[in-house]
Amino acid sequence: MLSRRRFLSGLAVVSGAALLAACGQEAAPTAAPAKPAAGAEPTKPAASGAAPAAATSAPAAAKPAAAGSLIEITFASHGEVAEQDFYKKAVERFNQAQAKYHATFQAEPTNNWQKYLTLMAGGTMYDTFRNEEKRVAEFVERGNQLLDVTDRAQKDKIDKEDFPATVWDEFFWKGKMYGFGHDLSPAVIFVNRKLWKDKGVDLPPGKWGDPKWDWNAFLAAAKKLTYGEGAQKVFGYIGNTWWVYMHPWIWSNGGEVVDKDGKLVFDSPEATEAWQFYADLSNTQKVSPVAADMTNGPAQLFESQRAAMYVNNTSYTIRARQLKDFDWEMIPYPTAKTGKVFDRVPNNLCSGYAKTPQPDGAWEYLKHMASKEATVDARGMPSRISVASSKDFLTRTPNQNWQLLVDAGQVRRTEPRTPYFNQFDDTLRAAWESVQNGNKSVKDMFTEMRPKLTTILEGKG
Amino acid sequence: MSSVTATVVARRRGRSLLWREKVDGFVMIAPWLIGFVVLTVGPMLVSAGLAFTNYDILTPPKFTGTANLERLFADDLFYKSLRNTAIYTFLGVPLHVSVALLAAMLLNTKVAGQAFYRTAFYMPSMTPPVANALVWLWIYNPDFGLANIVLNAAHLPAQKWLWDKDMAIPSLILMSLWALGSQMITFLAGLQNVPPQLHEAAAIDGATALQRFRHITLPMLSPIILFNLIVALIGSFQVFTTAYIATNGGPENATLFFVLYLYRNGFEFFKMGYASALAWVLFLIVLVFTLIQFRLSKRWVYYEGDLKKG
Amino acid sequence: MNERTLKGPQRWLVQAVLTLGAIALVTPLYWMLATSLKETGKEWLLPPQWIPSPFAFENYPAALTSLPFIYFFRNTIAIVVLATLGTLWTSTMAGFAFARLRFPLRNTLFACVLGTMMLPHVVTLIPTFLLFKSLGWLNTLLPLIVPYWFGGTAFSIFLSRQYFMGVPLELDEAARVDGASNYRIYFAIMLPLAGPLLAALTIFSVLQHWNDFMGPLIYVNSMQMRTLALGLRSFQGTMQTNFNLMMAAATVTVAPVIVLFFAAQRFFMRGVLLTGLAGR
Repeated sequence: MLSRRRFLSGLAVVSGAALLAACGQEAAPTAAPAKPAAGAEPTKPAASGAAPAAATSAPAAAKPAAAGSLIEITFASHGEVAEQDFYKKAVERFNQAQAKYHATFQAEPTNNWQKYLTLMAGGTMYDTFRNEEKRVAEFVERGNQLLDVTDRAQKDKIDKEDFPATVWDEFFWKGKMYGFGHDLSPAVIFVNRKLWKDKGVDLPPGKWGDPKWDWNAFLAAAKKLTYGEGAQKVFGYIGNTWWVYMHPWIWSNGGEVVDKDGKLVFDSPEATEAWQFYADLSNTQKVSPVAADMTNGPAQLFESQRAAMYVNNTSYTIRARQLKDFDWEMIPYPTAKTGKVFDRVPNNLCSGYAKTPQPDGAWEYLKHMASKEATVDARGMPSRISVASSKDFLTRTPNQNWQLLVDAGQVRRTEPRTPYFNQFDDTLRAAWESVQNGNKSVKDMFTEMRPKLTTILEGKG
Repeated sequence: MSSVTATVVARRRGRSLLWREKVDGFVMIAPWLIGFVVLTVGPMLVSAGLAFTNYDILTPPKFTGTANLERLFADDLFYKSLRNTAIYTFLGVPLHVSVALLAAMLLNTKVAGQAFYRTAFYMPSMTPPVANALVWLWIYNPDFGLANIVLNAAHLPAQKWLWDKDMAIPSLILMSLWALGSQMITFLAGLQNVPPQLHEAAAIDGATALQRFRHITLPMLSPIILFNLIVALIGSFQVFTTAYIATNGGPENATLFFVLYLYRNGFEFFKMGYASALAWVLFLIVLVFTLIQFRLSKRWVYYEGDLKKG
Repeated sequence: MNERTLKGPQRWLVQAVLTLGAIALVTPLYWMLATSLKETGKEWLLPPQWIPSPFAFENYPAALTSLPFIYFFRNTIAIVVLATLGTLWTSTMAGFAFARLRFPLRNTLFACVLGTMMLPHVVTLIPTFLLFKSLGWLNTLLPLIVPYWFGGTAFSIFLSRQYFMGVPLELDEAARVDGASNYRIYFAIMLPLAGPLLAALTIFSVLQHWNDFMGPLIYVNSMQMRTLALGLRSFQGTMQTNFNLMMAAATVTVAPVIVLFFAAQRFFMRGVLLTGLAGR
């Protein structure tokens, strides 16, 4: 009986502790200063893999705040481990620059948008988070989940001239301001200079819209840069299989996916040409891999020197800069036969949660993320024109053409912003992947997708 | 105490004892009963109601009548996911049960290292499906994975496994076979309860091993086989985690299973009404199949009188 | 034990097949462990490196600190302990009641229990989610624990009933004659006798909750509240190119289960055998 009682009481203690854990909705910032034991994680040894993985993702533990007097603000962002350093630094700078708030950074896995919506549904969303311009509409239309900062921005006389016009407009939806941007990630083609040199192909000029770097020249280069077989095959071009990366090609050729009035026009003749050209790259020209060739992701193929060109947005530069013995450069998209070229430049902004208990604090943080000081070492390219044209940015690394990114602002266009982006994206994504893998023709994709996408855009999807 | 008084007392006690028993019975099942009403019956009714609405949990629900049902019948992804689930189930379940039975029979012989074998066979079924999926992603890797290395060694052509839309479901079935441990142990228990006298008697009468298997082992095991079949069927209809982690429905929706599609509609597109409609469809399908199985089972399942409890 | 004794070539054949099978089944787990100790860049070698050289033990601290694994552990253990306790108590109590007590609608209600066993959980998924949302329990561990205090799982009630029906009636009668209440009988007689049952239920419950993925996926959103299974998934999302670290994280998720298995092997087998007997 005695041992049973002891056992039961021991069990009660364990259960009690577990119960505390279960009920506690762990808001990291408030917990961290009070629980240094749990929060302080062993700083891992420096040498471990190519990506210098972050020491700890509970940075609050490293900086025990003068708890009690500061107001906590949470900021969440997704992104690769390397990108997170930028956000952590921004958070630290914020904490040092003012004495009223204490911000903490919450790392989230990529593509966490649905989770954010669920958090919002439960009323427990972070105070601020990194948002994208194409997702603003959805958050607002689904019950006004974003903090409206229009009045605050006017009061603080934000200098909107320092932002490109199209970028500034995307902070707004239906006339209200819902976010404040810190960086842009223009899509560019990353190249492996060594592979180009080996095959004796010259890099195109580093300017947008050069008439000599047209689709034919692009294809010719890709063909020359494709060789080998099987697991050693080197591909001339790895495009991003996500359909949004088709926008530059479609726009350059004079087409559009969804027009300004929200109508689906992705099967116009100009757009069709672009879709077809691209699909041929993997299907008939064989200069691009299909999904089965890149089971570890396209980046891995590029990094193991098996691709001469690789499309991604400029947040990839963070990773590229960490690669050892890798001679890389950025080149523009080829110019279409229309003589024009356009680029997609996602606009990364920081938004506040509508129901945050700290709206003023959230706005302060938004302002900080978009300030000159914070965006100096932005992941891709700073949104502010002054910072982007500064020497620091343009000479970030000696061998890469950072001016290309700044110039991308001139050929920038806005992607469709619809409240139903999630479902639209999901639906079209699978179909386009099918086409690129040679399992569906472009025409079939149109027939299949037109009715579905139209219903989705109308909100009846 | 006289015997009459004792009987009277006993009867009075007996009546109140009976009452006691009724009350205690309900008290003891109360937690379950409450849970049953609040977490099972209630939600089922609510979900049936939701199926007639458009609800994205961030804005109030809107009544839409049979719109979801119409959507459902016109939705090709609905049919595709149903088809994928059906293939996975009707190929995988019989395979799973037969292989588990075979393994159990092999293990039921006197061989050296029985404990080791049992451990080895059971372990994979205990590990978290997430971890399993990640390891098998490596195994199935077309360039560096173990599966193709084995095939190459046997001079067979390499496959694209999870990245080939025709091989994807078979690959997942193979992955599920790896976790046959729990069913195998159940069969092992059943096998060990087959009275050896039956086998001996049959052997004396000249029955071959195969005949003994068909006429003794199988019937004696049939309740367990039925149990395993039903459990496997219900589980297989609800396959989610492996598909979510390993392929996320790809390639090109080849592994878009029903519950995955439901999850997407509910928690990624926030179409709770449509997802509820999908859930009810699944429920009805599973119900029908389970009933069919029970009906059919009367023909081939053999219950020994005193072994069938309650 | 009712085992077959085979002779000669048959015996060798069975032995060979079993050995091959065992190797095939264990290899993936071994690979998980081996890869977790490889240096970055060596995970994808051809031919594959079966024994890592050198042993990169630093993968473990690296993997475990890149995401807040300490929270993942804490949350998973909290769920496992509390849900198992709830299951053990409420399902054995209900099982005893169904097995031994007579009350109206008993058989109908037990049929409901059986029915629940066959219910696809997705049917109740969304409304239960909405219920917990309205209670404010989203992003806590409560939705993953509290339901198990209301009867555990249907399977555990079923198993308990089977077990208690096998306990000799005389014990009950004797206790009743002595004036014991039904609760007394349950606590003082049935439970102590239910060792194998409790062991089996514990093991099933631990496995179920340790390995649960869809539940946490739906209810838990912020990093600090995630479980090991979700944490591993987050790993896949952010560290996809560091396969060795990912395998280290996976090993950490798998190891406790295997340790549990070896430590409680006897109970394990007995427990599963119990299912086998009860499964008729």
